[in-house]
Amino acid sequence: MRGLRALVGLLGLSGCVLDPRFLADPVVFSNRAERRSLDCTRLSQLEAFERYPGQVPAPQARTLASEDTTVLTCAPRYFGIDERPARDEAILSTLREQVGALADQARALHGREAVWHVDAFYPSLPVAQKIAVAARTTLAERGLTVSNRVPTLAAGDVAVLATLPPAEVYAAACRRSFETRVLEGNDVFLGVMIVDARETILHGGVCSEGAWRWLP
Amino acid sequence: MALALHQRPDVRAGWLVVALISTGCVTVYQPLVGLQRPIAIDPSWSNTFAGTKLHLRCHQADGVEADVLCRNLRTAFSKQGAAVTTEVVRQPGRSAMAPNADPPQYVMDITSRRVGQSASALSAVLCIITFTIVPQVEEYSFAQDVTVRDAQGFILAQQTFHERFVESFGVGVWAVNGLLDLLVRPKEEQVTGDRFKEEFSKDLHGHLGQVLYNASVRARVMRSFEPDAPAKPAEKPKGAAP
Repeated sequence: MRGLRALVGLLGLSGCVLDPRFLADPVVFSNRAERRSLDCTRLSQLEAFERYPGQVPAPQARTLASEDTTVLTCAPRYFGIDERPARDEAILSTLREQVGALADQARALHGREAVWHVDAFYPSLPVAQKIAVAARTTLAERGLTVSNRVPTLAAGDVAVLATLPPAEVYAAACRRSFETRVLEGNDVFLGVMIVDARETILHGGVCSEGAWRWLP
Repeated sequence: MALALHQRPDVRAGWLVVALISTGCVTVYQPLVGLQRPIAIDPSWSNTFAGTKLHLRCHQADGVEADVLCRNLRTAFSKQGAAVTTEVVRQPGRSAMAPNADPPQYVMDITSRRVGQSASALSAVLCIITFTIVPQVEEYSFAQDVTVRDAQGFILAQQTFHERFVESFGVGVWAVNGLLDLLVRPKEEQVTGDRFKEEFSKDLHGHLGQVLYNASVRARVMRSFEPDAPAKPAEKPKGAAP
């Protein structure tokens, strides 16, 4: 059996070694899991040459004019596809884009004098912390004043809020935060959350002056 | 004088025919953008989209059969409980969706297009000269742009997926991989036959289901969690027959 496999391998290689492009392709000689664990991006030849000098040849002037030559660049992922729960993986792998879009929408609603407080609501605490840190960082990157303080309501308020459906809980928590002066004045709260166990997108809402508003 | 067996023209021709008949393709599918991510819904569950009215619009583009795509997706979403209507848009921006007394809750636009194709002329020449012992390798890249809107046209979700297929044609590569599939590889790792189509369809259908599910949750949030009101029928265009 081993001899047969070796023979089969040699026969296969005999057909492949003559085409170096074939051998260099990341899908050749890789199994399904390895193919799926690559993060691949298609770049223009100029961009690929700038990023990987020595590995990608410089584009010719004619190529530059037409821009129809692209280079596929692949790198192995830091985390395997199955290492984290599916929903966590789906959200974390698009966190920058999702949080960026929410931060842009939130910023458009309030002026620069606002002080932003951020928290995330997600079933897994480590993932919630990652989301909150990403949102704070993104707001700060956009030049806004961001507080590290997470507004926390009293235990009695939290116990009551925990009984409310999602349609009411965020609006009630927002109102209560301003009533109890957990938030006041220029404080604006950005909440980032999921509202359904099977979704893979993040929603955002803004609490300002006691009024809650969902971001589109 | 009789010729040796291997010198007889009919035997040579026979070998050539055998080589050509046994020549085949090995196609490997690789998800590039979006499609390799996991999904949180279970596409095999028949109740995910129960009560959902979906209109699928597949846009014609180069290198893709939009009607086949629409037909397959209709089956996939119907199995998950959705009431699906389909439309193939032949000309960009010209949808034939008529005003309807029972309009869909969601409209999903899918444009699947070929974004790249590369083949080496040297590889093709070598393939012919060597009676396909040296494989000819071609690569095709495709992209799917997906947009989900509600009945009023508000965009609820947008996503783009990319994937590529590397096709090797030749008796050597086909025979070797056929033997490996037969003797060594488990079923999910096999590369001969239509395995690449099954794997790609499973990925694409699963992700489109997830996009639709995300869109439906976003619509619920935008309504402040109010129950879905029946959509108003679109107004008849002026001059339309009663």
